[in-house]
Amino acid sequence: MKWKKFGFLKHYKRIKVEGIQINKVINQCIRTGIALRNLKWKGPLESTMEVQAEDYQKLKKLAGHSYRFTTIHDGGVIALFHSAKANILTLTGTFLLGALLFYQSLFIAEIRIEGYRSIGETELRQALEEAGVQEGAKKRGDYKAVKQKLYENFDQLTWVDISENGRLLEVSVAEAGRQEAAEENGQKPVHIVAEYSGTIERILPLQGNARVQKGDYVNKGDILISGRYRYQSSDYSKGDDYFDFYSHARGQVLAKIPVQKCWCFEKNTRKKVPTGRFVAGIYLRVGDLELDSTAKFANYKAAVKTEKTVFQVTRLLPITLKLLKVEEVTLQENPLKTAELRKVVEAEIRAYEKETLGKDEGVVNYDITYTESQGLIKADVLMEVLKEIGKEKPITIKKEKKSAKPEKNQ
Amino acid sequence: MSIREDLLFDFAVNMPRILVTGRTTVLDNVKKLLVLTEHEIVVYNGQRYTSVTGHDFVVTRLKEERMLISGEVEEIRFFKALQTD
Repeated sequence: MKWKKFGFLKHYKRIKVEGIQINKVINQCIRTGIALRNLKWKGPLESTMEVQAEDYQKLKKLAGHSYRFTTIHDGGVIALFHSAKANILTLTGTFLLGALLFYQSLFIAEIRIEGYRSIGETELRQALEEAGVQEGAKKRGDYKAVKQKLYENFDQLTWVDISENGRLLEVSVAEAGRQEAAEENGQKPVHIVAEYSGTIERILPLQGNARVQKGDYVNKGDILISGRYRYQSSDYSKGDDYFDFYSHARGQVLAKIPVQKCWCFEKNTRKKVPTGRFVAGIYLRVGDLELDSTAKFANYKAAVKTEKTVFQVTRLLPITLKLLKVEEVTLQENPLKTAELRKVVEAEIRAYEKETLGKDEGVVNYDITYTESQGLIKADVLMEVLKEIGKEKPITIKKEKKSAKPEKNQ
Repeated sequence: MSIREDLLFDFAVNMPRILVTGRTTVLDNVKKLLVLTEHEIVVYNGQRYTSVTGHDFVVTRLKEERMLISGEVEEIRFFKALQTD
């Protein structure tokens, strides 16, 4: 009886009553305290009404055999549960679909980067990936660490905003504008000065006066192309005095500079020799769940793992399927031969040339000295490098003063 | 209202008491339902009869001698005894 007040909410029946003088049934309900709801007159012999499920049998008994009762609809919480029980498969499917939709919404499907100019999108994506943000990665909500990483990687970034828009991650950046700075600098009067000491090999002034020529030895800081001109005025208002005119010096200055490098190598080289034993398997990742079938079986001391991606999607859910092969290897040590060592050092020089030097620059000559210590071979390389040594240096303009005779341009 | 009138109003359990607000009508002290159609409802209150006429009548609730009627009310009449044709 405690639940009586929740009767209709708990379980009710919409019934159709057919018979002569339905008022009698209703009056029975009034007398015995059976609550009725939505009582509708349909005709002299028919009415519909709602009655609590627990009163239904009582009502039928009171009415006797003179009336026909038909249940049209079952309502309330209990009926809802019964209906749910009958449609368990549909409900389970709906729940699973909902769960899947919710789960897939926890992952990033797309990253959109806006606002970059001098930095490449690939570089930004690379930096984001290093910080753990990529398509298929889990959403975080807090991207402070990622922002910090971007600021550390790219000095020119002044502002970074990362926001989630559903499964889309929007990364907006603003740069201090190296380009803007360069444009601004394009108007500033500057000299081209030597960044390193060396012997001039080629000088090509595009704007300004060349102050050195091929074969000259310059020290660090010497002016190579001057941005200052001295001219004699032909303006009547100024008279025929000499004045300075400043410009933004531009040009290319290549010089041979000495560069010393040192690389250390192990005396012995290690080689991985396959034993012929291997374990093949699969790697499956669905969302956060990972399965590596080789993890338990490939208990080798030393092994080489190769993998081939068969299937990879980030939408609707990040799913990756890879084929794995774990090969057992033994490690063999061989002493490094002189010819091999020279090849390795030359490869390092080429790598240095490729990474550090520009288009017209290069290593002209080099000399290698080997020194041996315990377990290591040290290669000291003295290189003659053809390098662009011109560097812009802003000119501090003093108040214009006229002079009677021409000066050497500086 | 005086206290006597108040008490009479509250404890007159055999007399008609009706409240009409827009399309909702509350009819108290319903002892017996005599007529129920879409256009007319007649009830017995113990000493008097109440007739409500209008249209689109639906008894939204009937519990503990209180009847809630939804529909447009046009006329309310009270009888001492049922009229004979």
